[in-house]
Amino acid sequence: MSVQKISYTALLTALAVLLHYIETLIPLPIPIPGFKLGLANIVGVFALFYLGWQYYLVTTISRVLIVALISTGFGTAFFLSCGGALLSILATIIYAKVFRCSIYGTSTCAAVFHVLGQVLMYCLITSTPYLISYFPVLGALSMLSGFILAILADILLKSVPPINKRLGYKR
Amino acid sequence: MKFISFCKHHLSDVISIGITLVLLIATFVGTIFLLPQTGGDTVEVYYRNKLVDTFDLNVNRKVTFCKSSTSADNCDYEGFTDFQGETIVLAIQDNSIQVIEETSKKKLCSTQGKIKLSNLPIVCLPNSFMAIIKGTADGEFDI
Repeated sequence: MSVQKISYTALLTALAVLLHYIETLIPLPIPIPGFKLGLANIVGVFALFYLGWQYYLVTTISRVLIVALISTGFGTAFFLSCGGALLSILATIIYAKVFRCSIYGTSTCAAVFHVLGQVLMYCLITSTPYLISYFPVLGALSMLSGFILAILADILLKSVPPINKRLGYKR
Repeated sequence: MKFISFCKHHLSDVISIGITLVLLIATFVGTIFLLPQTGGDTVEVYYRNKLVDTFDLNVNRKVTFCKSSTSADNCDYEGFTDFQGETIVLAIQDNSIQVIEETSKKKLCSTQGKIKLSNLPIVCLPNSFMAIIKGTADGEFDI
């Protein structure tokens, strides 16, 4: 871990927290409980392909903890975030490292697992299986949003110079 | 042609997205069989995962759930301390349920609109409140 990468991780985490807050200000007309755009995930996907999976892991976990600390608290919302984050982290690393998917495949599929993690956590918390009814719809919508976020993250990745190049190192 | 070329260059992506789609479809089919959505007979209201009361779906009425006894004049049930606002009003009308009034900030319950099918809950997670139509139609499984 270089100091530069650690600094970038801190910066990206702050950006993810900010995007999470901005997202709460955007009203969504879709009447499905739990559906969100997942703007903060752009930062996660960017961190994965720009810095590496370890940094992605730190960024995502830090974001969940900081958002809980300053905004939502350590209640039900925190556990839902944890469920979604843990399953999406696992899926992201598997899709990116094992299946060798590009940013598009990784983001699209991980978004579905994020929703699955949240739905399963919800079912666990409330001891009721009923919210699973929403999973197919939420999953399909999250696939779409995951793909759009991948396009945005890809544009970002292409417009930002490689991390070592900034310091004049060879990649 | 561009799409085919994209698929050839992103074969692992296409396969992964395909597998995920299959998972989604399997869940959808599984949900249909395990949690069949038919018309229902009763409405169950849960708070903190505990059943508050059961109502007849065929009888039109409005039920007011209050945070405390001072929340509103017409409280049917009170003591829902997890509520973000003061009240939640559940309307049972024409064999459907809908949260028609709530005093919380984000209005998470009321944005879900009218629900007519069983096993599809109105979920208000920050308020620890859930309302669901339960059916006793033939062929339905008990979970």
